[in-house]
Amino acid sequence: MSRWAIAAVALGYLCLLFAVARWGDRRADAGRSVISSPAIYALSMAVYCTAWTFYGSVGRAAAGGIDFVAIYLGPTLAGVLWWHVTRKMLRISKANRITSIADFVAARYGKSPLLGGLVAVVALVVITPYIALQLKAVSASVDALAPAGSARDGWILGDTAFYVAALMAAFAILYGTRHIDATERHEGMVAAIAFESIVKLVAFLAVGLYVAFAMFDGPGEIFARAAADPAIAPLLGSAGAGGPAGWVTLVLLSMAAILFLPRQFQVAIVENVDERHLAHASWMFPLYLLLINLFVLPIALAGLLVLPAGSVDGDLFVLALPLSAGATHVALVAFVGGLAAATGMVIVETIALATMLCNDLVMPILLRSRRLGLAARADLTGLLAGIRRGSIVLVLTLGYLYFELIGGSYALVSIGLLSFAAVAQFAPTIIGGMYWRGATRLGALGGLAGGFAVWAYTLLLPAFARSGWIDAAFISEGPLGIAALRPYALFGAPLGDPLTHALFWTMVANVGLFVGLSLATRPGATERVQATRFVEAFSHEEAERAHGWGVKARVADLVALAGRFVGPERARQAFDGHARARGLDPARLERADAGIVRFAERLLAGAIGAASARVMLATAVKGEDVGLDEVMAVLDEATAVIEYSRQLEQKSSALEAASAELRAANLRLQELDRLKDEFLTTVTHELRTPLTSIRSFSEILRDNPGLQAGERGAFLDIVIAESERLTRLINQVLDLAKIEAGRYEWQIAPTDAGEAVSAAIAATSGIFAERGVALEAGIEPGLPPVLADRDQLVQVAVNLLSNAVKFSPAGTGRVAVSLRGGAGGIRLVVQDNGPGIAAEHLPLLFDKFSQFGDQRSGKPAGSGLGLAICRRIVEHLGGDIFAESPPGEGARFSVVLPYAGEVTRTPP
Amino acid sequence: MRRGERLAGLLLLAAFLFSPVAIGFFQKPALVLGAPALLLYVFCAWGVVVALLALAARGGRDEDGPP
Repeated sequence: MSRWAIAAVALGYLCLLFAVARWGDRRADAGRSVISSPAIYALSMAVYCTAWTFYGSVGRAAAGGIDFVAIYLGPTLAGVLWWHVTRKMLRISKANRITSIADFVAARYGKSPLLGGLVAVVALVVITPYIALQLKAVSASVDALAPAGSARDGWILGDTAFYVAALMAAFAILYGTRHIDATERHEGMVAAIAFESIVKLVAFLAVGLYVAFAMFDGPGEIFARAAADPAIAPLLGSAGAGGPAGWVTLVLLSMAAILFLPRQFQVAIVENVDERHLAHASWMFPLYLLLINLFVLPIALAGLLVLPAGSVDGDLFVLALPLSAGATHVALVAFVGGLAAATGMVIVETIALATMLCNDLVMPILLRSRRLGLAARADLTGLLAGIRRGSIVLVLTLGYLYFELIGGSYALVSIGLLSFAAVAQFAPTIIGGMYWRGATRLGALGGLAGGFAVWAYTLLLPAFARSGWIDAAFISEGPLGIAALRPYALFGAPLGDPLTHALFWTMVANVGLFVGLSLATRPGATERVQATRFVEAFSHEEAERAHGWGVKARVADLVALAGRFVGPERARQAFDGHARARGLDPARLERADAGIVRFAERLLAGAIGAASARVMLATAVKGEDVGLDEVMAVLDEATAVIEYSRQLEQKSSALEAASAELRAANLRLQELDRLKDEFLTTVTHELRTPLTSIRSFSEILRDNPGLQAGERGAFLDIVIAESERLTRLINQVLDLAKIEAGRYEWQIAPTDAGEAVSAAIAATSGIFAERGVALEAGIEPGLPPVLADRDQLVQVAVNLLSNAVKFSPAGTGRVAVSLRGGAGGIRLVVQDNGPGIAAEHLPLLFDKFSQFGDQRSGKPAGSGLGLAICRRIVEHLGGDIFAESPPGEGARFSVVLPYAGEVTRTPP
Repeated sequence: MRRGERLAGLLLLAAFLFSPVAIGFFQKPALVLGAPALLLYVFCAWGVVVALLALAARGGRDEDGPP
């Protein structure tokens, strides 16, 4: 096949690519995005499969069996991690408008230009040779298709790689820097990359099917013949020369690569349209990897079986096999597939690197340079686009020069895995920064610098040595002959293959410095704020989402802001309430006016103080990041303090509540105890009165056997009546407990008070006779009835009479009982001629236990409950009871009870 | 929530299936069903993990919470 034909095919394919990109951009401009689908998203991620996959996997399989698969199992494992890690990276990046991996690192560690620059430089150094490798693959594939001997007429003009690089630069400039917007999305480019992914998959499957079914009788025949060949058979059960450790290293490195390679970050994070695509891409992408690797081993085995040993490099089996069978068209399909794999990688990687160079290396320097005065310029888009384009040309020129100058060296061939190992150095800084708030800028700088230094020493310098640029003794003897420093066996560690060895020592240096320095340093204000935003990307997402996109305050921002301090639910309710109070529809409020902002400020001031609220609000209203960091720091501290004091308050109020409960319980217990004592005393007192009466009459009957039958009968009647009353009393005592508890059943009925008083006089006449106290009764006949409980009324009269007789002097005592009708009701008066009651004791007379007997007789003369019970009964019946004691006239107790028709007061 | 847990479990399963120990069981140049045992195992395990990932993505379609 002529080189011209190949060139025409290649050119035709690239034109098609431009057309696809143009179509994608057109559709995006028209608002009908073609890339908004999980499948396109997954296909764009397949930019992971470069020419190194397309050609190199077969070469690797031909040398080491199945171990090439490890490089694709890592991304599959990472696919499982996407839900946790990549989704968080996505959230963080969208919230912080992050455009590259360097930006991500810089933003996390306090927007450090130094860190961003370091990552950008490292990426440039590591990835540019990788781009060169793609150019080399294209060039080699052309040479394989058209082995024209001295085909390279002229230094540059005959070189396919140059044309490819130039076209790629054009493509990247056209579709990678078309417009400079905040999101850095390039829909046309993504469409082209997805298209390329389809092309390379179809091409590889086509070659695989051709080899397996046209050249052989199915894969079974390839395997059977391979198993029969003693030189090839060991490959069938081989998982590479690295052993178990080498396998794990490959899996881990490829996991890191899929997460942190600049081109993967570009397609997975920056170009992501919808976060939900991630879930589906997380299985579609591994499926793509599985499919593209399906025929790798059969092709490798077929190549070993068919092609003369050593005549063709394993990397070129994909092209050489169809050619050997004379199928030029299949070889051409393979060539296009390889071209697609190479160009896809070059395009995305170049754009990612150019963005990084522009945003994290060139612009920070330009903006700092006062002489240029850029910071004051309003519109920098033109300059930015210029720098991007320059960066693209620079990256591709560097890539081409690498290829041209060191194209055949070991250093270039091995750059694939070398770059994976380098990219893995980002892992501790990025993963640590996303999940560990305490990671600091110095820790990140130390970790990255240490990791890259060890990487360069254990992988890059030995690669140079193997390319012949450094004395090979550097590897075998160590620098200056120091064996402990041999780059493939640092300190003599028995770590197997160089890659595993390097991964171990780079991670020791990287993680060690990262963690150690982070622990040893304190983060600054900006760092702490950024740490919170990154680590708590999910919990702060609402607030984060609200920030950044708007220029003026949105109500949603203010609600989210207030919600952080007063709780989302309360904030929402408060704002809704405020809106309704002003006659606005809360659901339709979009932009906040002055009133709402002031309301928000007040709401915030309640939680964090007026000063903080003002600063906080100022940022939300401006919606820009200027000064936000400091404000956030202040507020985060304030929040911590508020949270702490709130917890303290909660604890102390809980304690207070508990102790109040205890106090109440204690009071209740004391009251119950007192009530019990009182009840017992009352019971004994009330039982004693009728018992005394019964005893008195029984004694009279016993001591005077000569009593007349009529008198004896009357006495016995009294005894019986008193016994009955005693029984009733016992019941009543029990009832009293009910009164106390409010459960006594009063037998309230119109009652003849005269009859009740007569009954009381009869009941107490025994005591009077015993003590020799005269009783004068004056009961007005024909009194109207009172509304009362008869037994309780008798009880009142008995209590008063026995009280009077108790305090009347024995022998000369005289008690007068009178019952008269009056204006407000009937009036019962019991007058004795005892010593009377001191004036100061009168108010306390009816209280429980108010015994003043000591003043009269020198010792307690009663339980002190009789009068108290009287008052309780009288008051319950709606009457009044009081005592008078004019000096020298004894004591006079009066009870007034309303007539039955006049009771208006409801009993308590 | 559940999806995050399911995926964590799947990560453990995949880590075992892809571990050198599991791979090591099949590291002999024997043919099973006409294909090398090692190749067959690796692609089957790979397929199972992809299928489970697809199931997890489908099952969690409506969930959008933090992990």
